[in-house]
Amino acid sequence: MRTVSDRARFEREIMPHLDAAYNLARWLLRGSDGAEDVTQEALLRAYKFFDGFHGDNAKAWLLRIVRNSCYSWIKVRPKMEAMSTDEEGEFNPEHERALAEAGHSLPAPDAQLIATADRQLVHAALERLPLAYREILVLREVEELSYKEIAAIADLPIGTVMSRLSRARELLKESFSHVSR
Amino acid sequence: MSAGDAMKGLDMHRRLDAYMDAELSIEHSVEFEHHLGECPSCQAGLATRRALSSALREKLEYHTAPLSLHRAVRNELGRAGATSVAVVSAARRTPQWMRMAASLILVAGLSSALTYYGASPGGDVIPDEVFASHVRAVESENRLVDVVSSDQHTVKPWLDARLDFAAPVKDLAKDGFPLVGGRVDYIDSHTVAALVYQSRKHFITLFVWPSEGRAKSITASARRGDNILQWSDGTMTYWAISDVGGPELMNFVKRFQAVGTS
Repeated sequence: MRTVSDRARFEREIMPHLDAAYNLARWLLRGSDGAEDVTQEALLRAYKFFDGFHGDNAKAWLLRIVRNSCYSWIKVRPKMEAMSTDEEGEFNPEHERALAEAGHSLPAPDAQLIATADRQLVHAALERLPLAYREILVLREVEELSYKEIAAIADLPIGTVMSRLSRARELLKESFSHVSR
Repeated sequence: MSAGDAMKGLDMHRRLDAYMDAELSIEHSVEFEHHLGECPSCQAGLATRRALSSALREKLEYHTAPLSLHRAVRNELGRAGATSVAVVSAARRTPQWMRMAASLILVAGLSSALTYYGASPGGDVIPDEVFASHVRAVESENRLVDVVSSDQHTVKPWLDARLDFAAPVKDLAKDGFPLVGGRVDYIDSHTVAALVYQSRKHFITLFVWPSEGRAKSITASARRGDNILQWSDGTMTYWAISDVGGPELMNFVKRFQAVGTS
């Protein structure tokens, strides 16, 4: 049972991050109608376990819960993420490293082309990416979180955050050339 | 290039992302910058990454939580425990686009923004009225618009006949914001024009009424899940509100400002 002051503290510390929570869910679920339900469920879960939150990073704490809720949701709907994820499951560290190394030499659109891309194109380029890469790009570029925060949210070592982000950017670059065609 | 240099180059390439994200130690960062100066491929890689980063930050739709979600969560929280219903926290996250809007004000002249807030004692109630009117209209389907038309040549005369000023009604369909229609509303003791545009599945209400004084650049605020942008062109005051993301609403406003009436 929550007290009034719990509720007030939740309202003060967690509710301001509702937009970030919803935005993450939208991107993880690829804009699916489930985002509202999943975010709501995550918020209730957060409320339930709010006693256990003593840290100073409410946003990262909440986003971790939202992320877990999204993954559970996707798990029982495998078809959803299966579409257009030809590269899903490809977390071969060797592969990731090789690509990160070769990264900047891959043929891809130049900075100018990306800079002039319109909103639909940016949306489409990100939407095509597999889950793990969409996720890391939203956390880094949209929510502007640090590697440490991303590591905590996505439950990854910091080194993996770095290599996955590098890979995600390479994939996004390729995705741009794909959608610009 | 020696084998040692090549190895070092590979090692450096791996630091590109961390360098851009300001996640390198100062020492590594200095080392990388030294390498960057003499490595064209890292320079190109950095330029591409920066372009990707700006594209995501500036152009990606930010999905702000819809009002229905705010309500549902607060309902459930109320049911889950304490009875007090707290007010919406005003300490919302300030998205980058809002900070951009704030910096636009600085560029356009801090003094005009300050005079605006200083000279408008009732300034704070307007966003609340704008929000209330928008939400009321969007949620009750038959109150959204009183004249339904995507043609500004239909909407404009309808409004002109009911207002004591000529509301600027613009065609933004080709910019992705088709006109839905218009209605006459009442904000801050003014009879105002409410123009309703669509952005994909969302509605944008643009409230317009005459105002005197200097033009004021765009300022941003938010109510619940809705973003609000306000500006003035010296003859009219404009308030745009919607649950579309901040950057999207900013895009709408820029388009509106760019397009002439016809």
